[in-house]
Amino acid sequence: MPASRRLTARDLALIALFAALIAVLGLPGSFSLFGNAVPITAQTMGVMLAGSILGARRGLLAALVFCALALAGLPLLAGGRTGMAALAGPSAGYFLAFPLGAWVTGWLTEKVMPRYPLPYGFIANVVGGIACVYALGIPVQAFRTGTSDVVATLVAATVFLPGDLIKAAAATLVARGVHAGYPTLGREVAARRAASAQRGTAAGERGTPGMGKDDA
Amino acid sequence: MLADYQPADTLPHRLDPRPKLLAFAVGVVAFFLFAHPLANLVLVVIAFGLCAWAKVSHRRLLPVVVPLLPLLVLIPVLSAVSYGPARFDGSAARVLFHLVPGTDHLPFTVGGLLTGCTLALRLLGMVALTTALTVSTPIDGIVQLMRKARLPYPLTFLVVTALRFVPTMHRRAEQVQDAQRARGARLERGGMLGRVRAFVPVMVPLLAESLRMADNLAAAMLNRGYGASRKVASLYEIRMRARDWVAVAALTVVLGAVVALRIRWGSWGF
Repeated sequence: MPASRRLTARDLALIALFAALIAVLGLPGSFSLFGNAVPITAQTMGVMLAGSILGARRGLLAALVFCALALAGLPLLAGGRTGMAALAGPSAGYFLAFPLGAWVTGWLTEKVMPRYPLPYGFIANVVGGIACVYALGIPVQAFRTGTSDVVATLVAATVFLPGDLIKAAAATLVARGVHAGYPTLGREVAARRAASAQRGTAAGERGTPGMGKDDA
Repeated sequence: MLADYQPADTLPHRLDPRPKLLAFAVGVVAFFLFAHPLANLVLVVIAFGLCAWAKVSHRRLLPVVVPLLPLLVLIPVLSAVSYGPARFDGSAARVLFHLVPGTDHLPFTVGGLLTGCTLALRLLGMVALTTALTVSTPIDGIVQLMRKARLPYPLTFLVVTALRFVPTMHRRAEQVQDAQRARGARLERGGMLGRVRAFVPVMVPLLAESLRMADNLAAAMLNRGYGASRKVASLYEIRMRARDWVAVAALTVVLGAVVALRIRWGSWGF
């Protein structure tokens, strides 16, 4: 989909909604595994859901809005930290990887929309929500904690891998359920993709008519 | 976690959002200029004084402060054992005892304890400052503030709406959990996998419901002509009055005094 497209009222509402979702998933039950400097949250699951439900562009924007709220000084990150505190700490990379993770998850998911096959969705969540987040987070963590021992850092990070895989699986099941119960979103993304590939031909089948289609 | 606006007729409520933001910034600077816990304790008292001035009720303040209490105890203790005595000099380097008795491991230093107290007090103070600000400023004040800062309107809308959705979604999540329990779901049973399995029947209705809410919001925006013109007008405009300028002047004096104190006496480090 073309990046220059203006955001509709519906896009804005959905982006705000998923930014709030990422925040809500970080609020309760944030617990820290002893001995590791990065606390566990369900927040990365919010990032995966933003990508796999909203698609690349809106998912990216939702994660960016969440990061902006945290950076503005709201205690939304794990353990009631603010964005600035996270940037100063060892988990800065994980925090900054949220928008990238949402975008990659969405980009991969958009390829198959409006369908949402479970194995493919799971892979998209793992690549976007885990691989991308780790790829930014682990080097920063190693740099910040001052360990030159790459192996030790990798081992410390893989403590979270089983939990993250479970989170990716849960996110996939939830996304599947949402797409089944709310098929407009998937169709909309697919229609937009078709429209940008072949301008004008897919305009007729764009989701629910009259709902946020003010710029059609 | 986030206390929201609470109407009252106090000076903090009547002030323009701009001097209030300045006051917040002065508070943040003051907290980070001084390293001694006593100085930070004075600032915490002032921050809670501001909360009292803005008539923040206990019902709002307690849910924000109580979850912090374990952290407020944990931070000084962890900090006391994690800084070695070599980092301090003078009386701050004194080791009170070793956490592992009879050995030299994990020395409990006075300096580390004091540093930890400073960090904990800063956290408490920042939370009190944020609460005083958010309780005395309506959402519309934040919208106006971002408008005056010439931020693009879609960004303002996103930030404000996301803020508003956080408590709404939190409440919805609890409603869905209750609804599923009423149908016989056992959400707390089972280990890690059980929790995940219980997560799906809560999240799917929550998201479906929230998506409908977003659709309604979008329809309401379109009905009110969102996107019809590039310029967004507002019903009320914020204006700097005499008392706002007095507040700005007073805050500038306070900032100057704090910086002067810092230069005169140093950071009160140890």
